[in-house]
Amino acid sequence: MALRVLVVDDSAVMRSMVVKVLHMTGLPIVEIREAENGRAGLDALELGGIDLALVDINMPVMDGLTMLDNVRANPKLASLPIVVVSTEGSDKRIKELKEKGASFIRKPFAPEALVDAVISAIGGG
Amino acid sequence: MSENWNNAVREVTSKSLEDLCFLIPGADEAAFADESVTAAACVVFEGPKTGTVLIEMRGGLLQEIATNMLGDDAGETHRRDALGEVANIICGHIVPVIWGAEAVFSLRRPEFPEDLGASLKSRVVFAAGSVAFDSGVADVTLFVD
Repeated sequence: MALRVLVVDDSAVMRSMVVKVLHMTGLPIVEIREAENGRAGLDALELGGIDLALVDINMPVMDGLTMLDNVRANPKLASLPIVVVSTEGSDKRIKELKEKGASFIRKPFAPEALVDAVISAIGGG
Repeated sequence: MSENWNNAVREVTSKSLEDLCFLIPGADEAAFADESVTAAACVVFEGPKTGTVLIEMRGGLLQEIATNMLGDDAGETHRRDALGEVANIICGHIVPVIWGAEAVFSLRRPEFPEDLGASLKSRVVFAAGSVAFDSGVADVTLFVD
């Protein structure tokens, strides 16, 4: 399965690191797009062609939780695999994300942890 | 200040910088005693407790962090971005260590105030710690409202 991935984070440094790690994972990634907030992320998803989104929580304009709610409320996007990548990792927050059908990985992360989260999100684990 | 919480600040700072940018702590902090702060960022957290985590860097630490995260072409904008991300990660990890993993905290976006003395340093310090690396020192202070 060839994966087209969207990375949504307001930090250009973190986007760059996530992209670098994605390329190191050995996952069958054919394209990586980037967006700097949840609104731009939604716009990118609505253009189509994305198989998986990695989304930060704490962003300007639209945060990652609002973006996740918008994705799940959109019939065309509702089933999209999403991995939330954030420093905010309370038990309650992780439970909430799982209930919304998102996987979670906490920053900073090892490449293996990102692979596990992606495989879990796309239904392989 | 509780020494336990000061230790927690040091441990979280060490682990965050080690995991994020492969920096190994353990250098002699005294070697940087005369170094002034070259960069600072703070992150406000809100939840069962409200407060601010401030990180100040001395020596060449921020440049090393940015280089390890991005390579040799890390410019001023990237250094600032890297500093904000480090502050965000340290804040996100220290708060649940102190107030428990059940508590839900929201973090505001990192800020880079130019004059931290007036705005923060008169507030109550809950915990603080410094961690020395080969290139410089990270001083982390947790204030509560």
